Amino acid sequence: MNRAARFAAASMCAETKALPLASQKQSLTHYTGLRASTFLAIPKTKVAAAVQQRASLQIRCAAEPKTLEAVQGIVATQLAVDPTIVQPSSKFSELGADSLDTVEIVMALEERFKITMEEEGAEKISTVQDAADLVEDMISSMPKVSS
Amino acid sequence: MRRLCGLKPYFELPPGLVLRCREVHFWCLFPEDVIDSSLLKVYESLLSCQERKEVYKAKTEKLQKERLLARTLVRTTLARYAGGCIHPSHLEFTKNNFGKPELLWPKYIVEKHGRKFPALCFNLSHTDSIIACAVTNNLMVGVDVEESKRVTRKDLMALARKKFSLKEASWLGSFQDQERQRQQFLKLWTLKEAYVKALGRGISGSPLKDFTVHLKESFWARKMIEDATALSCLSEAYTIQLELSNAAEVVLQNVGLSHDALHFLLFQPTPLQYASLCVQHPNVKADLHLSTHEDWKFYFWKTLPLAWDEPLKGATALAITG
Repeated sequence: MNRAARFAAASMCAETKALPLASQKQSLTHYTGLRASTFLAIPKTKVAAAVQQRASLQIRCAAEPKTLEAVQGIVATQLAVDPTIVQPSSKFSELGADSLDTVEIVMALEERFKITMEEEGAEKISTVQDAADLVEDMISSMPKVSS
Repeated sequence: MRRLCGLKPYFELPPGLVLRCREVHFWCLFPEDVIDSSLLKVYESLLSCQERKEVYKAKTEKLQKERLLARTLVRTTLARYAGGCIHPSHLEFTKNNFGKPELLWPKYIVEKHGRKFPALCFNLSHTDSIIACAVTNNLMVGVDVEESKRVTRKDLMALARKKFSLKEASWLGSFQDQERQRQQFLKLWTLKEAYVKALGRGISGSPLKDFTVHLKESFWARKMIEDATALSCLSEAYTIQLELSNAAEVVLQNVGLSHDALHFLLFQPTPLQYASLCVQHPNVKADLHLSTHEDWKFYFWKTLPLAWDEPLKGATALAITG
């Protein structure tokens, strides 16, 4: 299974399990395009396969917890704020970031994750979650080095 | 009833101050001057419901105060130019297609002699130690302020290579002294930000790499600064020249301007800040042929809204377009 599919499966399972059942159905349909009733009845291995098929059609997956945590840390350091107030839904502007802070945050993310953020992508980031999602997108779209 | 007449004097302009066609008025508020918390409550009452919500979305008390003071400065400042007849809370704002705030109502300012002017243009910027609002009579304007002691976490040259044009990065790299380089970086940053904000097309509409701001030491800069402002000036003054890439020229043409239409002023309201103003030159609008720097004036005011205002003393001009 490719990396993108693994992300999709892991984050989807983790996230949807936390939701009430009705929302789970909605969430799963959103991720895979399959009807929820069909979906919930399918064993885990087959879920992974279905997700892999879908993953090639570019789902924007929610970032892994480790990525989000690293992004939160970078943002808290740059803006010199208490890390506990840096939530995934926090907007940079609400944390006191000005345009120079945003540039430095993007640079810090590029260094930390060894990626290059495109200008357009970087401009669209408004929340911490957006930044983490973009990082993951960049990581998963980078060409793999064969060992 | 939108118009409230007979308001207290602090909504009016300081005596003798009128916003003429070829003027830029810079108003600033220093948060350290706001010590009375009951005044903050009054300021809050001037804001719209939406603005109050935005204030409280900020995650720390300090940021909330900054947002509150910023909206207060904009509302009370613009209300002054409406002849003192419009309450600050009655002004209405909108955003252009790129998110730049604009005054929606009132659309026209009617002077007491009955002359009608198009709506005011304004721009806002703030940092820890200052809130700044620049106002013009229908001229595009952008303002940016930075703490002069700001130290970036990232290496300055890396930032310059990433965001500035090649010529700017190379100019910055020519400074051997780290502190001097840091100061020049911040000056360049505010100038470039002011340009983007004046155009109001967003950062994607005017990428920082697409234009070059040249700062050149010049014997004539001091005279030009004296003509245009009442600010004191260092003996080492600079001229500012703007060089545009083809892409940036196109952006300017799309808003009906040519490359020499935007003028800059770089100054320090106090030693703690750098501030840049970028403003559309009035000759571009006028049909008359006027010399480029005569009748082109900048005025600077310091205020504690609803309490006092006075000319900003002690500010120093560093550079001007010429």
